[in-house]
Amino acid sequence: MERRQFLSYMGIAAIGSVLGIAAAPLRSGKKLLRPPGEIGEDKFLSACIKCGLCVQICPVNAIHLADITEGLSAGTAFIDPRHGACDFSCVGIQCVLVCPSGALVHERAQNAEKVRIGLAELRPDLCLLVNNRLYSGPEHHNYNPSDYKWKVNPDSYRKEVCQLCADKCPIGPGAIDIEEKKDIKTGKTYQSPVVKAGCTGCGVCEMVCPVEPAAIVIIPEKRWNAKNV
Amino acid sequence: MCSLTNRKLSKEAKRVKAGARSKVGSIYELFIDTHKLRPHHFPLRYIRWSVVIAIAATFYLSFKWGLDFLGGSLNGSRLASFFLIDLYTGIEFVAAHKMITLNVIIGLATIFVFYVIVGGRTFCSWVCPYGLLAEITEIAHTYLEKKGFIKKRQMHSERIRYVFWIIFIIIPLFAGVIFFEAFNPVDILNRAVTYGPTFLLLWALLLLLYETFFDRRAWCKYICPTGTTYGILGKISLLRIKLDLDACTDCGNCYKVCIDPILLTDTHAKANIASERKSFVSGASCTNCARCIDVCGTSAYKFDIRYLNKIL
Repeated sequence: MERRQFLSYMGIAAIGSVLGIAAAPLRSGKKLLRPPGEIGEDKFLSACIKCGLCVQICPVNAIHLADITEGLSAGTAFIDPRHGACDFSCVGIQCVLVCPSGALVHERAQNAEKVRIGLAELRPDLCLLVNNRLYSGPEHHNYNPSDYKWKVNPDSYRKEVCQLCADKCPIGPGAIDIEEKKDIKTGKTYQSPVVKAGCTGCGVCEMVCPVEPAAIVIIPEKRWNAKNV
Repeated sequence: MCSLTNRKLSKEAKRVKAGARSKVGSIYELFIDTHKLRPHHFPLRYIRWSVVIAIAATFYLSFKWGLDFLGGSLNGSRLASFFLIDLYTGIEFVAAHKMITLNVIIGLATIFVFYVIVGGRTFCSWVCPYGLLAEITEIAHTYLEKKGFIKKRQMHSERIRYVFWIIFIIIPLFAGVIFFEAFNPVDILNRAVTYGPTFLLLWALLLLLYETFFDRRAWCKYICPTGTTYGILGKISLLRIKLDLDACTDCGNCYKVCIDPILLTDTHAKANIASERKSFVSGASCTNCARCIDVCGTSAYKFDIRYLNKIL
């Protein structure tokens, strides 16, 4: 190879690498909820080889692959809990077992109770129970009920008091419970769902929430502590 | 080339020499007229295209029907519970993650051994879905070139693909993100077949349009690091195409269909000085596509195992 051509190639390599490294943080604007066993967003992006095996194995079709709208996170696996949440109905958390590249780690998801992928966060102003309202109007759900073992009964949307998030939570009262609270200003007591330490961030509560937008949402990668609830 | 004309030609070569010489066509015409060039030869490209489509269909159907036979995509797949990892994806993964898992080692080793046996860039023409579409655009490109709509051009030296190969390893090494796979058209197409269309398909379409109107097979020749990895492997791989110069009629058909004609120039030169006048196509860019076999009027080209006498 000529010396001149070699130098020009070295130049292209240097410029290309610098441009690429500069462009590498062009990832998704919003934080995506990763499947169980995720190892943190930065590590996840270095480990996910975008094969989609977790998408194929998921029995409830909760996992999807990101499109170019998520920037350079394109092709990585994520869960959109509003349209289909991980309900731990599979045996042994199969997306973790099938991941070849260690983007989903088994130590972080040995069983359903040990999974931590996010944390549910209540938006009290939207919640029917907090505002003591009844839900009237068309049933709202974006997910495919036939995917889910426990099958959401349409009648469960027409209740005296809405407690769907607590009813349908696959973990149970350890993750979300209905408690009585007192309004400091007016002194009235009201009932409210409270997120507990057991919350895994699976997103079933966000999925079944009957109001639009959802009154309870999952914050990816957030962990529970006594202060933030 | 003087020495070539003086040598003895085999009977078969003499017979077809006059006919083949007169058929100086473009790759487009050669594709159409394969049956005229070799009447009793079933074109290998039909088998090859069927293999590409069959693999894509297996990916699609095993997901759709829940067979779990061949899951994942060409980056990383699971064939009957056995992992397979693409070599360049594996390199990027190690560079970005700075760690390796047992399943990745198993997958990489399997693919490595497989492609050492069946020949480096065999992946490009027998598995890659982008390769299939690029071949169709290649025919369109030469058709347009023949009609005079576009000019013939060589954009850059093909060695530039090694530069891209290094760039796309340096980026994950320092940025810690598997960068290239976000816009790798090979996997975009494969994932689109399996998981449904995405907006990323527009990028693959853009590349195909560029190849149609400006530069024949530009992505495969100048950029694709996946193919380059397999090409490096191809230098030591066993199954390759062998040229028998005694049967060659110098018609030049193979040069017109080859993705990188310099390969054949080298092979002809090597065969010319070899004692038995035979040589393997040994360059890194040969994809074992067998188009040279299809368009050759004689049986000068055929698949053969390299180092066979050394192995036995």
